[in-house]
Amino acid sequence: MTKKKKVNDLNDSLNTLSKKIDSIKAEKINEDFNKTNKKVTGFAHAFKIVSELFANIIVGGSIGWSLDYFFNSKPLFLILFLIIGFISGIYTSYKSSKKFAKY
Amino acid sequence: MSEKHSPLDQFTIHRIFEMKIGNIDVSLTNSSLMMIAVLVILNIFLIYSTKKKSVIPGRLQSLAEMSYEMIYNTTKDNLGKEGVRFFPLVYSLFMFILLCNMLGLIPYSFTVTSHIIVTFALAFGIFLLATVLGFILHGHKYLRLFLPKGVPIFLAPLLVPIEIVSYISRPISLAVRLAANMMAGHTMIKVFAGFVVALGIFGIAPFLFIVLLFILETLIAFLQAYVFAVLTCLYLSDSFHPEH
Repeated sequence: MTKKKKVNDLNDSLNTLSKKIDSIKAEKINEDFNKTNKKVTGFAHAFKIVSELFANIIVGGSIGWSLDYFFNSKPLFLILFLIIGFISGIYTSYKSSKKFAKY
Repeated sequence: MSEKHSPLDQFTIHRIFEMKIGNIDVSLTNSSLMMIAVLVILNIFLIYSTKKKSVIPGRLQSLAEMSYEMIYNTTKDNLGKEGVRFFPLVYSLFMFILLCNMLGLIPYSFTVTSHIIVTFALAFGIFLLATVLGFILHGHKYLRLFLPKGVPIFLAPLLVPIEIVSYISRPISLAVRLAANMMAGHTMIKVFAGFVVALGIFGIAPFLFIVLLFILETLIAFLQAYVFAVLTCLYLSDSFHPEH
C-alpha cells in the first residue's frame, strides 16, 4: 500500500515537473514569437484581410449570378447576393482581426 | 518593344513535350516541368540533409529541422494534439509552395504559383478535406458552423447566407492571395527591369530599387507559403471544433 502511494507521489511530482517545463518552454516560444514575428504576422494578416474582402464579394456575386441564370430573374439575386457578399466580407475580416488582436 | 519583352511574357505556358491521352492534352509544359523540379529538389534536400542525423546539426540539417519544427508547432498550436496527424499534409504543402515561390525568383525560371488554377487546385483540395472531415467527425451537427449557438432565431435568414458565402469564399481567398501576390511582385520587377534598360546611365536608380524589391519579394515568397500553411490549419481546426 505504502509502496503504491510512493509511486503515485513520484508520478504526481514528475507530472507537475513536466507541466512546469512545458509552460516555461511555451512562454519562451511565445516571447520569441512576439519579438521577431510580430511585424511579419501583421504583414501576413493584412494580406489575409484584403483577400477575404475580395473573395467574399466575388463569391457572393457569382452565387447571385448563377441563381439569376437558373431562375431567369436577371438582376434580382445578383444585387441581393452582392450585398450579402459585402456584408460577409466585412464580417469575416472583422472576425479574423478579432482573433489577431489576441496575439 | 516587341511582344517578347512584355512584363507578362514570363507567365505564358508553352509545351515542351507534346502528349495526348485520347482527347485530353497531357503535354509536359514549363509549368509541370517546374513542379517536377521542385519535388525532386525537395526530396533530395530532405533526404540528404537528414542522412547524417548528428546531434549538433550542420547547416543543411538545421535548415530541415527548423522548417519541420516551425510547421509542427503551428500545427500543434492550431489543431491541438488530435490534429497533429495532419502535420504531413501541412508540411508538404508548405514546402511545396515555399520552393515554388523561391525557385520562381530565379531569373528565366517559371513561377508555378503565379497561376491561379494551380493555387486554386491546392486550396480546393483543402476545402474538400475540411468539409468531408467535418461531416465525418460531427455528422449533421457540422452545419452548426453556419448558425452558432446563442444566436436568436430571427437573425438566421440573414446570418446563414452570410456564413455560407464566407465559408465558400475560403478556397478562393487562399488561391487569389497567393497567386496575386506572386504575379504582382514578378510583374513589378519586370517593369522596373525595363526601366533600367530604357534609362541608360540613369538606370542605376531603378536598379537599386529592384535590389530592394527582390528582398521584399523573398520575404513575401516565404510569408505567403507560411500564411497558406497557417490558414490550412485554421480551416481544418474549424472541422474539429465547428462551434467556435
